[in-house]
Amino acid sequence: MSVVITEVSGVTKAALSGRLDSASVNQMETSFIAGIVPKSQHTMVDLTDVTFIASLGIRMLLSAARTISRRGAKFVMYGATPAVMDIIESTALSDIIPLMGSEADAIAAIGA
Amino acid sequence: MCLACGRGFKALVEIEQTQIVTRARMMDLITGDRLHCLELSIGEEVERRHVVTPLGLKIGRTAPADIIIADSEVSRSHCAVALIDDELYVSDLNSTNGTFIDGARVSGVTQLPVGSVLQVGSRAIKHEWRTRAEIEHSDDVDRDLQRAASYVKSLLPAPWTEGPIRADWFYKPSAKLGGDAFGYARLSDDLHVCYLIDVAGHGAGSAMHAVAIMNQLRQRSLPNTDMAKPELVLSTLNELFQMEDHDGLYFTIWYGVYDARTRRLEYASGGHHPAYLVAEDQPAAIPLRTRNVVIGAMPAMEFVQGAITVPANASIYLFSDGVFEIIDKDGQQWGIEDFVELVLQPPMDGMTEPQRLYKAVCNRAGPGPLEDDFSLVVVNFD
Repeated sequence: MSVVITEVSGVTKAALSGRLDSASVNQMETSFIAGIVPKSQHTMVDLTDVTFIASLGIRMLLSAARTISRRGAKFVMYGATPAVMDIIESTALSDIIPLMGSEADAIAAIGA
Repeated sequence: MCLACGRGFKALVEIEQTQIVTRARMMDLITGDRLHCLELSIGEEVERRHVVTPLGLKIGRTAPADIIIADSEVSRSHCAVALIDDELYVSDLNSTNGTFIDGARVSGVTQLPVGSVLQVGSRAIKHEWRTRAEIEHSDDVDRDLQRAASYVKSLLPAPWTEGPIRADWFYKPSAKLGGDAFGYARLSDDLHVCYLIDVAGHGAGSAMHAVAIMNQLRQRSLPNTDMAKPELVLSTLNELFQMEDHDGLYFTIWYGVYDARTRRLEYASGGHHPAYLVAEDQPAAIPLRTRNVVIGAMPAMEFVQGAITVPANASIYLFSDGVFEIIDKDGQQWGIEDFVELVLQPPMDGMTEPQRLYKAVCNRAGPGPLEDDFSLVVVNFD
């Protein structure tokens, strides 16, 4: 599991990859949060290379989304594979964090 | 001692050997900061840890093996583990079913790397390399988690074995203890409730949160809430248990209320996968789920419920994600549809339905204990 934080069109982009399970969340949650929250700007999470999300992964995304939202910025996800889409659908996570198809869609949804 | 017949001499030798072995097993003969441990999950919730000394040890079904595994697939003297140059090596002792390391059969003397899993019969034994402090701390933590697991278990309902509605379950907490809890009860003469909650994460914190939620449901003490209305129950729980007020913990839930008079089941799931209805004359399992967010993620969310008429001789399967979110022996990530296939298989004599499914999942999973709590409730309707 890894996270790469970059900036695209003034939007923080967090690209996750691998299994977002309990062990990997424990390893990378700090760098994920530290990479996006202090910027306090619109954020999109790239799920293209994520193969699985466990409950702690959902919690990490929810916590980040709530923190970013409280600071007046938008938080969206995009690029979920069918397997990850099933998990997101099961938890109705996209009712709280908008899920877009592509990076371009994500930037458009943010309105950056 | 009778020197003439030699029996006394033999007995003396055995006594002396016994004394030597006993002394050799003392921890002070083990040098180095770290110890090689073989860790075995056994029975319902006890994990055994064996420190491997320079004398090595034997694994088998009966004494004098050092690690005794009462399993018909394990030979009396199954395999030996040796400690050589601070590495562990395994040799099979001509066992009937073989010895495996990370799925590969052992032939000759084979190294058992740290972190690898030794498979003996149906049991998995992990090789861990631990400091003495880790072992002591781990023992304390394990004891606390076992106590927490026992407490959760004490709150679970007794099986219903008589009457037109019968219920049974299987609960196997993971070594790290998850946040599963479930229950069923009568709300009135006709109304029956069944629910399962799954708090995100592992450890005592998740278990404590699960207990707090379960006690609200057990005591039917949600404020200003009709416990027979699943959507209202979820809505109230969502307001009471916002994750920011509860150490960042959220949970998923499936909650159903069955009216025995009308055979109508009303249900709602909050971020939870479906429960499944299996009717006697139907080849497929019917998913029972409503699309609602996980509980505690966001206040003031709307919750919806669904309803179905339960046919005669039907069963409902309600379970946590630990039941199906496993990596199988081929290294593939399972999905819920893989578990539903098992649900549709016929019952087995001598086993309850929850026991059958637990065994079936363990048989499909890779070596080692399941990573998450296994919680499964099966309700049968006449």
